[in-house]
Amino acid sequence: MTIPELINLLPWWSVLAVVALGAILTLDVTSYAQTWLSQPLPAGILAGVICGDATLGFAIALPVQLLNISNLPIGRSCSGERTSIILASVLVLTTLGYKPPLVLSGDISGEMALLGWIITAVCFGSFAGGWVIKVERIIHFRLTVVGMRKLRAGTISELEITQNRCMVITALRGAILVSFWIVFLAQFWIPMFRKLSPEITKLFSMVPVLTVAVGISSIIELHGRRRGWLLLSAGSVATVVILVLVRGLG
Amino acid sequence: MSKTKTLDTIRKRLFFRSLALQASWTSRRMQSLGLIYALYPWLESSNLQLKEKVIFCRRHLAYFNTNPYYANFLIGGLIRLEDENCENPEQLISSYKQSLGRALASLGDQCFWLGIRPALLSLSIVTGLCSGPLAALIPVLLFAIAQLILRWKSLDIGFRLGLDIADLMTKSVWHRSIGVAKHGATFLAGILAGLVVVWMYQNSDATGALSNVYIMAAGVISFVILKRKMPVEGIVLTMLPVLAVLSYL
Repeated sequence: MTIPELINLLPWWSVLAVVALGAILTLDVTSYAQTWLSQPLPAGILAGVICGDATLGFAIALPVQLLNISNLPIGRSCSGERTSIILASVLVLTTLGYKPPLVLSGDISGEMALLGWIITAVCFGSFAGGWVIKVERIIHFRLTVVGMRKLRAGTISELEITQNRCMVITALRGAILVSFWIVFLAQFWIPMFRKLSPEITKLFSMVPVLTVAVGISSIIELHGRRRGWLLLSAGSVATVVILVLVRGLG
Repeated sequence: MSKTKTLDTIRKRLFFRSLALQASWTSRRMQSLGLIYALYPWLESSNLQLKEKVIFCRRHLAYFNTNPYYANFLIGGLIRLEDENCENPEQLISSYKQSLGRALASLGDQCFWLGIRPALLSLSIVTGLCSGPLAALIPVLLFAIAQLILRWKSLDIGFRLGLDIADLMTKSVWHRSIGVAKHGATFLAGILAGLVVVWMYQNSDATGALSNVYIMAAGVISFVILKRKMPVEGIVLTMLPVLAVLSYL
């Protein structure tokens, strides 16, 4: 698919709305309010609502959220950026009419490999986004150094200017990354999936389940100490017993 | 101007600006510029001369870091101290900011990042799986509203208590809430793990029983790698070649 073909296929108002959502949610991560709507799961669902398929948003965001459930964004740490590529994935997959299966609910279908392929893109995208955040931090640092110098010299109005510039840069980063990922996924990543051999496709069908395993491991790593093991076991056993009683083993 | 009146007149502006505490975050000064931005409505409403305003800005340009959800306790307290125009403000305000900032950062990080966030997101996942994708938004939306109310109220509490906020910090409720949040997160993680077990069992025909063994092995390996602080996305990408070899066997 060429870029002009893609532009014709994508509903322009959805693209605008998803790019705007990307800008707003990027601000939400650290710059303004921190409501956690920018977490992968709510972000994916919101993008799904905009694109008309909330279930697809949930299906894509769920494994990524499981992966990042114990992610600790404390101090200087930069643990990547996955919100923008999730928004772009939801938009592109909705436009192309894909129906990825829901991990942890229902049966595994042949579309699991595509979901795995998208999650792999999110993992790469998260690292790339992390580097963009580092560049943004350098820009913020330079802006604040200039702002502080002027503030010390008595230009109080510089405070507003510096703060607003930093917020605009963050919002722009979100909008630009979402736009970039839309083109990348539609032009390069999803067309490449169709060229994969059946063996490799089978491999990617394991990725969503792998993310669940890694996600649970990360929670155990975070909380699985002393009393934590007891609570983890209690939660697991209770769930298994309830599900078996309600649904039966079939 | 009476003390309460000072806060009432600027509270809305203080609140909305305090939400942008980390907008100009830098690794060297952390949230210092964001703090002055939040305190600006007080500076504007004060009768300070330009020279005094510059001194105020210089005072708050020093390194400052705290947890954003608890920051308004400190911002309210700072408004009170600045308002009282105490003697030797440099030393008092600086030590107040640094000591309270550190304490709130430690409590907030433990409560929000280690406790509430994993618990809330696990709850969101379980809710979504049981009641549909839109239901998954409910816990996050409730948290968003609750944290905004906390930030709004904590401005007033910080302002009312001023230096006495240290007494509030010693109360056991902080540590109890951290414990509840962490235990809740662990229990909900257990529920997720239980869902995985049942789901893998039900899908063992489709994935092949051997795949389930691979996945469980992957979980154990990733647990070991996580101990070495590798990013989770890195673990997934590292496991891909391993899975490729296994899928050819």
